[in-house]
Amino acid sequence: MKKIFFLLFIISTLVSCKKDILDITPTDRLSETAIWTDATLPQLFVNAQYNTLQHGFNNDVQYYGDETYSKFDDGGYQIIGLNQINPSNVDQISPRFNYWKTGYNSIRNFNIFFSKIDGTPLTPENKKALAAEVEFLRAFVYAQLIWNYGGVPIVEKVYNLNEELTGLKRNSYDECISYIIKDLDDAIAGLPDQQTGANAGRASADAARALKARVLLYYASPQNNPTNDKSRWQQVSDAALSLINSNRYTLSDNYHNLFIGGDNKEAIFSRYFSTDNSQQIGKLFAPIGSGGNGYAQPSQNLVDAYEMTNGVIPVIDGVTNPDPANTYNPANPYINRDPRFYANVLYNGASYKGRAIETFNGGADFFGPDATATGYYNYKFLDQNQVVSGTTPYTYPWHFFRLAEIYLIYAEASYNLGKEADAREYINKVRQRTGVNMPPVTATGTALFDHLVHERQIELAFEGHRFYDTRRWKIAPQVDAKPITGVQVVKNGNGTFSFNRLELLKRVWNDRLYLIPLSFQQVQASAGSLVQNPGYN
Amino acid sequence: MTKIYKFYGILSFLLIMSAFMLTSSKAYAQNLKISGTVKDETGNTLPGVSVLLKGTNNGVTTDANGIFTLNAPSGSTLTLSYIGFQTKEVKIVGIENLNITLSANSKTLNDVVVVGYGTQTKSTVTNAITKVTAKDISASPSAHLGAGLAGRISGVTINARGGEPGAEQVEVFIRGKSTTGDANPLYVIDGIVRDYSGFSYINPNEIESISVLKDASAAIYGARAANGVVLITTKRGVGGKPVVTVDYDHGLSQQMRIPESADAATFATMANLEQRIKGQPEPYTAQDIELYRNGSDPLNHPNTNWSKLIFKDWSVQDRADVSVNGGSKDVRYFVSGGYLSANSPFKESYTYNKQYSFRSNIDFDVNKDLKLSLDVSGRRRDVVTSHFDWAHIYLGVPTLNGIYPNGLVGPGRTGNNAVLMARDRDYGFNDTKNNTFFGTLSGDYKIPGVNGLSVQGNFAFDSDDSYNKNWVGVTYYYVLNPTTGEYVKTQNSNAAFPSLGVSSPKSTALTTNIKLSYKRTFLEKHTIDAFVGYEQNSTTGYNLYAGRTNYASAALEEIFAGSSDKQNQSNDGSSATTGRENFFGRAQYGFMNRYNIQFQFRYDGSQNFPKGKRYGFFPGVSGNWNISNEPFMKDVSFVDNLKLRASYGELGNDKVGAYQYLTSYTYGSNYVFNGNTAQGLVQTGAPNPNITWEVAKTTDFGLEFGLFKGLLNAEVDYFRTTRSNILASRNASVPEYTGLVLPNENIGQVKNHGIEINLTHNNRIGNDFRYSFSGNFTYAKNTIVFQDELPDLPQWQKAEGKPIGSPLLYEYTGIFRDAAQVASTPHRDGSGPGDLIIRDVNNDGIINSLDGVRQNYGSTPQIVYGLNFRFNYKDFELFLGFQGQAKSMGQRFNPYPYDPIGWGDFPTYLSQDVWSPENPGGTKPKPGLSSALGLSGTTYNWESSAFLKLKTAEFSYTLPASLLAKAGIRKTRVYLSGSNLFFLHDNFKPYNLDPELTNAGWGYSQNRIINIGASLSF
Repeated sequence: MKKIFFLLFIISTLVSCKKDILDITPTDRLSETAIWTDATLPQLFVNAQYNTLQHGFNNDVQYYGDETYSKFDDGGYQIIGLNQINPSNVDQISPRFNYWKTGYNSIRNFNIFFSKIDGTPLTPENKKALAAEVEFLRAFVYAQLIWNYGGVPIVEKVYNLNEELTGLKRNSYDECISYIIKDLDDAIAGLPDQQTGANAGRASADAARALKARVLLYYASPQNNPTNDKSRWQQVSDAALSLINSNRYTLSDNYHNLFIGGDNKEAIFSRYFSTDNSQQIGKLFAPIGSGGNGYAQPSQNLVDAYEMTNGVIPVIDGVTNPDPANTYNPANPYINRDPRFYANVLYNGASYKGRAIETFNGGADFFGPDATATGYYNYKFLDQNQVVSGTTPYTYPWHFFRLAEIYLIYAEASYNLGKEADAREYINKVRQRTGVNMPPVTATGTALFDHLVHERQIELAFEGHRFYDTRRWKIAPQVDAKPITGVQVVKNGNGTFSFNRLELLKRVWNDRLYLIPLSFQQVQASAGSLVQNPGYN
Repeated sequence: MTKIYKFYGILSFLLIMSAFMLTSSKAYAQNLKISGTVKDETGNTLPGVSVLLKGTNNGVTTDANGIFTLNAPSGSTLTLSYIGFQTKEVKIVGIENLNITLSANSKTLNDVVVVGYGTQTKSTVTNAITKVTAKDISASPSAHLGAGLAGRISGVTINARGGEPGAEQVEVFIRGKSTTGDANPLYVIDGIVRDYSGFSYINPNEIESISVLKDASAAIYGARAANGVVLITTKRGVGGKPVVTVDYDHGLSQQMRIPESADAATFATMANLEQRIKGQPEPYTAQDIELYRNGSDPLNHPNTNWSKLIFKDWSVQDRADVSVNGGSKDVRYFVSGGYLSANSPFKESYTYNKQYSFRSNIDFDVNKDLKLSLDVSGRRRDVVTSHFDWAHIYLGVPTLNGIYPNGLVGPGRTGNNAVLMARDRDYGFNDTKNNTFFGTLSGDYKIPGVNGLSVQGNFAFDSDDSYNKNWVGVTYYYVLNPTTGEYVKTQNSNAAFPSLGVSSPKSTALTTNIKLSYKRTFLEKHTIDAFVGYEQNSTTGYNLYAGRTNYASAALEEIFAGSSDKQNQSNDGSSATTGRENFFGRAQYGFMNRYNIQFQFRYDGSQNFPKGKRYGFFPGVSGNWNISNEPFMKDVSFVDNLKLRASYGELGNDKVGAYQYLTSYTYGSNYVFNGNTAQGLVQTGAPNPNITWEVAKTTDFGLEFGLFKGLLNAEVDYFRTTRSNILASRNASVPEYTGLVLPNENIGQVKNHGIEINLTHNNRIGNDFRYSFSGNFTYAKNTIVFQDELPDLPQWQKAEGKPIGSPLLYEYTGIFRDAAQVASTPHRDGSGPGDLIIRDVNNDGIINSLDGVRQNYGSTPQIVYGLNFRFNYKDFELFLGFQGQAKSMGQRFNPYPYDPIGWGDFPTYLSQDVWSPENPGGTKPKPGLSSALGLSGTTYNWESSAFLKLKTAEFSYTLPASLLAKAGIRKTRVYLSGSNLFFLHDNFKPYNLDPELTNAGWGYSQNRIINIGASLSF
């Protein structure tokens, strides 16, 4: 019996030591209470939200439009060009454009923030400043959603399980604009004009002003302003002027350096990188002869658009401009061009890393399946002093907004408000900046508008504007129906080169392509409350 | 506090156990001198047989001639046991010279079957449990235990989804899948849950048997048992003189199938066709193509077969094992050590896979009431793998030089030369040193005074730690300058400088259980076998990571040698803890072994769930009727055995991420301000406060019979299981505008039913020729009863009513001949001639998402079968094991767009009768399919993955014992064996893909192994 007693003792000992064996405080995560009762952690939560902003070093924004070509169909842009996109395959395209899921995940986080921030031990000033940061981010997310999809549902609650999740309807574009503008006005009121020092890269009032200018620009444009409501242009003009008149920014005098970490007095809002949080553009875009992947290859469409130094556009729709002032020589096409051409494009014979680029048949940059199909490599965003490799941490920032864009926005607003002199002035400020010094634009009327279109194409190339610009101006039915072209460079026996134009992507335009479709699954999941975009049913 | 209690508990357990040891054993009367000879059925004497006086610890072993002598009282009983033979009891009547024959362990009626927390004899088993013995396991030369067992166990679906040495991916499902969640079974090694990694790398030579609990019998493992349980039992000492066994295997292995890609001429032809169709200039001239074809200009017109350049025809695999089995009066032991080495599948490579293991299982009979066992085993895995990327083999453009004719390495694809990946360690390698230790101390104490009452306890400590190095260095290739003819050494842009990451994860598990058992037969009729027990388990895991970049030199691949600049350093660390506890018990009542009825339960708690949802009760009830033991069957002489059984049980499945009931946050998603990284914090997902385990209700009816003394043995089972509360997320029906990152919810429901048949036939022709045949067949059809789906989904798209994992695909019906046909036929947006025609399922004239059709099969086969033949002629034996499956589908092409210009090479198959403007009737789609119109997502890319193959073969010869006895050798067996030898039937031959791969050949296939080996006992 004694032994049995002992055994029972053992059992009871074992049982007693199990006490709370299942009650484990996890060591791999933090509780909700821990975050929102802390004075520091809410800021960390906000820090993470910045990642929702889509910078252009993800090797995809460059493709959408007619600026570049990639034979891998990186980012899925070809299916838009070929009018193969539909609700069933929209998930194949880059999340910068098919931003629905990313955007709404962020919106839920913003709503969590707003539902919790009042209960935190932060000072009222800190709360206000943090809230203003989040308002800016929220405005940016909604802006990106409406630019791609048109009006989208505005969600202001934190959804949880076990509640009605379906049935939400899309808000109109106008309603979204009001919502975005309110957020931006609040952000402007709550944030310093500029974020400096350790905070550089955080939302600032100027960043909000710049975003506001762009949002209003799209809102005033023909795509979204069919009655050409002039007051909208006035709002654009005001928003742009608030930045221009601040005199806090000046145009960079080195157009190439601006994009590889040079002085950023032109930049209004940027995404920074560090060695442990770097980007890879320096490897992805570099020519293959230097070990790059040659991802974004400038198209002939863009190359043709770079003016001769005397201001004449050399080639229009693949045909040499008959203008007698045109000095273009098809046998030597890369001389005497707008300096921004040399800052952005590596062409056959261009100097790069102490050698000449060889995109000709058999050259060092022609060899292999990843070689350029257009005959060009991208040079914007490439720092030729840095090693091209998969492990090099490229850290130069991406500029979401810079002064030149604001000038061009102001010029466009001025044009639409009938102030052509202002429009010309600001276009010319951009093209005549130090180091570019192109002849001034003197045109009037629609010719001036064409210059504006052209100036944005050149100045803002590869920065993610062109795709939206052709749509908002409603020139996409013409521009986006043109094939993406390239050039085959052939080295002749005598050492000269011949340039044969190639059609790389025969694009098909359809008016439904003004907007990205909602995914089929999302329309179904809403139980019919989400209305699909026109032409995709 | 808990820790102290735990320590105290263990300590008291040990102390009390040692107290029992001190009790002395009795002396025995010794009056008769008994001697005898022990032989096997064929008349060979058996040395080393343990002969024990029943009920005592007195025993001897037979000598080299199979002879033993010992003193024993008259009327006592001798117990003879020997590995591989049935234990036999012999009653002593007077002084005798006994002649005893032991039968080999093939007749299984009184065989001991390991069940959850105990053993039962085969005839009392009331459940569907399959046992696999060491002999079955050892026939396969496969280094991975699971891979070797495919086709051998009825009711178990085994598919090897990848065969990379040291990183085999073997899927094991019991009776197919019954859940859309984690369907992996629970693995228990020697009574302790040790899960998949413990199972994967266990040395097959250490295993005595494997039991698979397929029905309600698994309920004893409660909330983790719904997918069935695999019980692995290692070898133990049988006592007697030490028997040393040495096994050595030397094998040659190769990937069974390497997907084939087009040669240079075909590639160039198709690239031209793609460009011609797109209206672009053709990159290759007719002369180029001819040069690629005739190979007369290997420098400028190479025909590179990347896989031939990379893979060896055969690589070498060696295994060696030594074990000693023996014991004295009070101690029995089995100790073993093993070594496995598989060298690189790559030519001239540095990668390897080595494994060292040991085991020591020792049983102490402390006294007649107390038995203690200490099992310790350990394993070291030393695996070096490369940063190899399959894309650069299968997409590898054959018109590029991988290696120039002069032997210099070429650039390959933008510096991603697959040759460098496979051969140059500086391209990047992973070096894993993994140590695993399993230790179990167990005791079994017969409580004096109460006949049949005993207490058993286990204390297990498991530990696993790894040291993983991930190194990337600088590599070089050569570029031929066509003008100068010079080969320019060029740094590969893969990495600009060396970098190293080291992680060091460790985990430990503590399991303690104790159980009180009662087993007794009353009046020789009523048998009671019962126990109750308590178990608790806790695990802790830690990880530390350090990384350095910008090494000044590659001379030292160590953390300290890295850059001292903080910008180039990174560190990380984490830890996690788990806990479980439960009560369990089983009671079986048997009447004259005619009727047995059994009840078992587990009351189980799992930390994965919130308070109030943690504990569940999992009961199982089962019974059998041994008809052949009925008096009325006495005269039916042709029936050896006839048994009916039935079971019902409720089980759980908790294999989901822990803490999903909490709203929690974790650090991450950092962002950079002004060039400095700022920490971020993210919510880990929406919480589900109601989360709990999946519930399985499983029913089984079984019939077992044996006829004509082994001529036909059969076991037939019908099973049915319904799984509800399946843990899945509602990703389909919840709109993304909610922004929810969804947790698992108990929403799914699946039913699974089917039959299992296992037939064996043993026969002997004359004295010298014996053969056996066994066939197993399993049909397990699962059907999704409820799964989260889009609302208003058309009937043909619903997962509901279809098997788990059946893909939703567009159904391909042909290739568009010309523009007119495209115009007149519903087509996907942007289709043209040469694209796939897709069936307009709903006849609305548009091809869109509504036209996808849920297919009838997924990658898990509904039918698996095995056919095993064994022939013995004198001392020769031939074993052939076939594995087959049916009613399943697999992908046949790689996942990248079929686009020679943009992406690279493709299977030659696609170029045969390809559509082109000149061949508008072509049966293969045009090259250059866009991502929207590609093959993936259509039935064109899927194929039935049914197959039948010769999975295992072994031819062996056992040298005559008489010949060896003089040399002191008990047994010598030499054999030639093979694994994955050839397919008799399959549909993947045209692409040379292994039908069991689920990644369309994007990874290692299973290995074909040809092995020669010997096993020597002395």
